Amino acid sequence: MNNKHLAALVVIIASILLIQVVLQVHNHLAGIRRDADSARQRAIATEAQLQGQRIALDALQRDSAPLLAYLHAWEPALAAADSPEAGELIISTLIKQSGLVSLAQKYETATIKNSVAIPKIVRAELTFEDDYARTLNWLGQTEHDLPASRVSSLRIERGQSGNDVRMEIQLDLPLPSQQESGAQ
Amino acid sequence: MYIPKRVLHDLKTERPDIAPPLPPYMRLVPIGFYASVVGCIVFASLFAVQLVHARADLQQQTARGAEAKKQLDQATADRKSLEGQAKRASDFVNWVEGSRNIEPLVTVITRSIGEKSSLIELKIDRNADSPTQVKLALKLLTTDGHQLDRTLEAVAKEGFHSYSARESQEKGAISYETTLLWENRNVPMPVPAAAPAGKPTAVGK
Repeated sequence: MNNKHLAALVVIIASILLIQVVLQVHNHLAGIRRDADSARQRAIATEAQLQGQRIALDALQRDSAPLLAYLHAWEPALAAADSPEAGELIISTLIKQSGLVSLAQKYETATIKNSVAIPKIVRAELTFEDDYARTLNWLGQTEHDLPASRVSSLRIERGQSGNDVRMEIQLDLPLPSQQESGAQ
Repeated sequence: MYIPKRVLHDLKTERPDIAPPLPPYMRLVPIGFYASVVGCIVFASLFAVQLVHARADLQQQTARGAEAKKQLDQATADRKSLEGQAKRASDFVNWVEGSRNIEPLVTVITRSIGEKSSLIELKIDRNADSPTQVKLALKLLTTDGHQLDRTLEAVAKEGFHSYSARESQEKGAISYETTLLWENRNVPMPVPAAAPAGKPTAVGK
């Protein structure tokens, strides 16, 4: 191999290197195009998921609108007491204001099973002995003033004298859990 | 350009005879080289422009995907929150439905008692598992054979359906037990702000 052969070889190698450089650039371009296509496919799939989620959300909003309106209307009444102490105070205040003869008052906190919104209640076990009309009026007024309260047990029998009745009542007042932030 | 033969001769080194010429087809080598240089310039320029566009497209699609993902996360969070609220509302509805006022029922029962009768004991208990059901127990002292019928009629007018009734008599006293179910339990209760059903029935002496 003489100098001329070597020179020709060098020129051939230089040509090949130039072509390699261009091919590298092309490969890089093809890689970026693949990445862009992949990103496009992912975006389309995510948009399709988003569309489905929005349809489901719209349906849920439509279906739960009456329920939520009902909730919003009742929530102030349901949230009358935010702690056992507050519930006890509300009930004892109603008793004091009525002037009924109260024989016994017992308060405790009870747990409600399978209820997320109302995990606990204040349970008041009350015993009165007073005039029949006054006693029943107190019951009606209490159910009116505390519309979310529940009379879970009631026993009325004759009192010791005259028109008196003895009323034993178990009154439950809900203690709702804290509300989470609402949907948009 | 003129190059003095003598000086050129002086600069030349001693070397063997000139190599034989390359075959004619080797002329393609420089032609190929020049072609590859020109091709490189043309294609590299073309690819560079396409590369800029491809990078912009990649960036755009990545941003589009990220935006869609962000909105999807927001929609998912909204849905989860709404489901939570619906569950909360459902719990409240169940509570409210099981908290219908008892006082009107007590009032109609006591008002239905006639002069020949006396109510010894009235007991009302809600079913703990199904609070829309109310267990009613009455103990009456009466000489009126129709007293119980009148009382049950008054209870029915109040919107309660009675089942599993049991009646017994002992020493002139009638004991009656039944389970009452609110007939219109599927009708939602009025809201507290407009609650005619919640207003207490004034009981006179």
